[in-house]
Amino acid sequence: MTASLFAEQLLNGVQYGVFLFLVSAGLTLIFGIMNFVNLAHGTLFMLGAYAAAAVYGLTGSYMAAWAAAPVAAGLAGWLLEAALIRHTYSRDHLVQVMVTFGLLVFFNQLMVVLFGAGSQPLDVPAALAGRIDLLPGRPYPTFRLAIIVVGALVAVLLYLVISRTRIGALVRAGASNRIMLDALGVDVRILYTCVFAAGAALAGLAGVMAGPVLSIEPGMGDEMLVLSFVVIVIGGIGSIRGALAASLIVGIVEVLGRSSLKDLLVAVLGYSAGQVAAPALASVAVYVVMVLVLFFRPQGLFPARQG
Amino acid sequence: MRVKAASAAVALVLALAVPAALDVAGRPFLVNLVTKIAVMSAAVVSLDLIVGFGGLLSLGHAAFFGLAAYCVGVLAVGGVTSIWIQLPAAAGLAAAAALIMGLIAVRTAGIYFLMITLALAQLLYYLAVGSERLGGDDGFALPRSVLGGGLAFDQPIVLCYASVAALALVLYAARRLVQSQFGRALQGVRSNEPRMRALGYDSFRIKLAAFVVAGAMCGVAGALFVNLKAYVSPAYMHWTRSGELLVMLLLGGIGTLNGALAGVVVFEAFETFLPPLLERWHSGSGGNWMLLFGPFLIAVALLSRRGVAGLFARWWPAAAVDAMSRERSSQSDPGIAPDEDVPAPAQVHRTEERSPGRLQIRALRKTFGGLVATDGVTLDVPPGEFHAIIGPNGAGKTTLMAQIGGEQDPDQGEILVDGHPLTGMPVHRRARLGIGRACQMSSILKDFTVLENVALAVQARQRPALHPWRNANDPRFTEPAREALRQVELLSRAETLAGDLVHGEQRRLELAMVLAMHPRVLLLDEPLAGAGSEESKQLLATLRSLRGRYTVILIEHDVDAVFELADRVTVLLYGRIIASGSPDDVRTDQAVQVAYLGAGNE
Repeated sequence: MTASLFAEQLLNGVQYGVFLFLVSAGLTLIFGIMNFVNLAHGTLFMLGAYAAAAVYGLTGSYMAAWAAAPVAAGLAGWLLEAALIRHTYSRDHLVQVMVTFGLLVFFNQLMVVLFGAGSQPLDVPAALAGRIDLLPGRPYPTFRLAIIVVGALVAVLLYLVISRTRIGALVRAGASNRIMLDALGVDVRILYTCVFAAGAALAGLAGVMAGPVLSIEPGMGDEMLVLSFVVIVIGGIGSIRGALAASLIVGIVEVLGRSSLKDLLVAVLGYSAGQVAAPALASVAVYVVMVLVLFFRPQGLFPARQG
Repeated sequence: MRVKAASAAVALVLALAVPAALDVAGRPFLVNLVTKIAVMSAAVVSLDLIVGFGGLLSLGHAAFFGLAAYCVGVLAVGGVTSIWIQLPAAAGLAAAAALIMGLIAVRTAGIYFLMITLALAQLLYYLAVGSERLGGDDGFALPRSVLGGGLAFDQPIVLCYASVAALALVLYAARRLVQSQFGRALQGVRSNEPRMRALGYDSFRIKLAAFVVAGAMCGVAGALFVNLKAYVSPAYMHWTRSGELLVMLLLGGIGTLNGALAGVVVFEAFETFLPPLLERWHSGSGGNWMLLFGPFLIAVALLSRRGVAGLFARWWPAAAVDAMSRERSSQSDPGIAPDEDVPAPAQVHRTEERSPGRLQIRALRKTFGGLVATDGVTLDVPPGEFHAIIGPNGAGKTTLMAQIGGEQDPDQGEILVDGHPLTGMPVHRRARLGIGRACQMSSILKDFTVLENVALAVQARQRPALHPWRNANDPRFTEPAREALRQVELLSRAETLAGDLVHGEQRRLELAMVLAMHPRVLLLDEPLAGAGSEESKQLLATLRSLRGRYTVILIEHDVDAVFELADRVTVLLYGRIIASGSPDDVRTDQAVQVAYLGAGNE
């Protein structure tokens, strides 16, 4: 593999990592602050993607579609939190698993009813359809670059909100010591709703960006959910920094694993063994990374909780 | 009892008659449905073992199911069709996978455990998807297993009876396990892990063993299921399958074992019977059963603590009572008689009494950042001495206790009991060596009865402590437990739930548990704190009765009590010993008066 191909794959990995970060950032806070098991977070990612596809179908406007995704997902998150999820914070994790699994099943099927079982088209907007000469001889798709830029902007914005604002201070306090936050008399209900809705909006944003790259179909959030679990385990529950680092690691390992592991294994194991082992190993590479991290740093790379 | 026997008889008759009747009636579809329900129930029972009784919320259980299915598939395609080889191989493989997965996941708890089990199961799923030899995404077809004697699983009725028999065996084994010494300890760990460790139980191993057993049981279910389908697919292992198993468990009532059957039946009612009904109503809408099932699931989860049976509690109280009689509390019902080949209880108790030990602490030092919590503490407590440690708040008393008990390790120095060094030893091994600890906040198993609490402490020092078959309600444990309860005057409350005791009683219960360990060294961390005056009197009397019989290290703020009880008093200040001697010496010591009693100010 040439250096420029490698660089391109690396960029693809970063771009995949951006999706993962947008989905995991909210989820890691929901886990860390509310201690709430949320299996429906991938569903919000899916709702964002579908909202974008629907709005694009109706208006033909990319701007509207991009705006609709985080708004719809955030709204859905806010409604679900206020109507349903709020009542399960004090219950068993098992109850939370059931409730959110019920939501997942329901919304997956609802998308089938509303849009059909097939995948929804959402193409790259014309302005971003071209390629940019980023690497010598390898023009890189502008849209993928845009995803990376948006991801970087969101990361910076999140960093500013969490490190500079009052609500950010509460989020940090909640992630490191939830009970103390309660005891300080902060109205945690509003905080919880905000975190949940904001997390949902970020997942929805990831959904619209995933549209042209992955496919918009029922159940698309289920796989994303599992990968974001891996991200959170690697990064440490409740840590945005950890989510960012782990998302990039997982994204890069996933993409490079699929693209270049075969060459590597063929070189090491010989042609036939490498050909056989590569696809299986490539698809589990991120899980192997997770196990390794757990072995050496059981609390994740950037644990938010002290003690 | 009569009701139980009757319902067991009904279940037996149904299990024998229904498949035959359906077979004679020429309804293979329904025969296969019974098979599926039996197989899935076995899988759910195995999940209940770890979720309901071990408190381990796993979202990767389907991995063991699928792994066993692949194992049978590979063997069958390779020509090994005898179920007597396939089944042990499949269960063994599932157990091995559970061991590896457990080694990684069981150290964690809560959301972490859930995420890690899910991710590891997903790892296996992707391995199967990525493996072209195993058919990748599609999986592969296989010939059904042979039972021998002309019987094979391609006859639906044979597979059906085999599955029902397997379910019966799994249920029986799970019930025995749950009621056994091991099962009691497992539930103890779920209830209060630190206390169980302080009693001498290796909680990690207990949870890991339960995880492996459950994995093997689920493997049996997977091996049978693959015979129903004659097909293996990675989808068996997908995490949403694990989610469905949890759903069935919750629907049937968690921690009930028998409830698994009800949960699976309800789930199948949705998955099997709803789609055709919907199709009749509107062609192509069969998949919409999930639109109904999702909200149903949410409603059950929110409204009922005991699955579907709990939902109907209002109209059908018997069902609610049945579902609520959780395994542990129904154990006082002697459904399984304790084994008879055990020696008479009282003698065991007497001969095992251990002599008080000697505690030596040498140059102990512990810092937290810049704070020196323990600063060169050296103490020699001879056997049978009642030794009090006093000092103002922040003097390092509790840190010192934690280092003896094992929750914290010193930076430097040594702790010895009868010459055995303790430093670096985990809590449960210290407990077995004879360190008994009563905590500042009473640490008891709140959802166990008082007697069960103490019986667990007795069980911890017996060999084997974790018999997987022998009933935990054995006089070998309960008689010494009653004896210990008598000592702290709590015998009349033996059958009360520990969580219902008032504060002072909880303290005395904890003391009884610690005494029942027959400790060589007794660590008491502020036993009188928070007690009312009447409670204090009772506790003091109990403490007095310990003098001379145990080596005691007591931390207490009630100075009058300390000077009355202690043979020797040590005063700590900023982590350092400033005085140590008889109560009278310490009382008159100048440095103590200045530093601790505040006399210098006057």
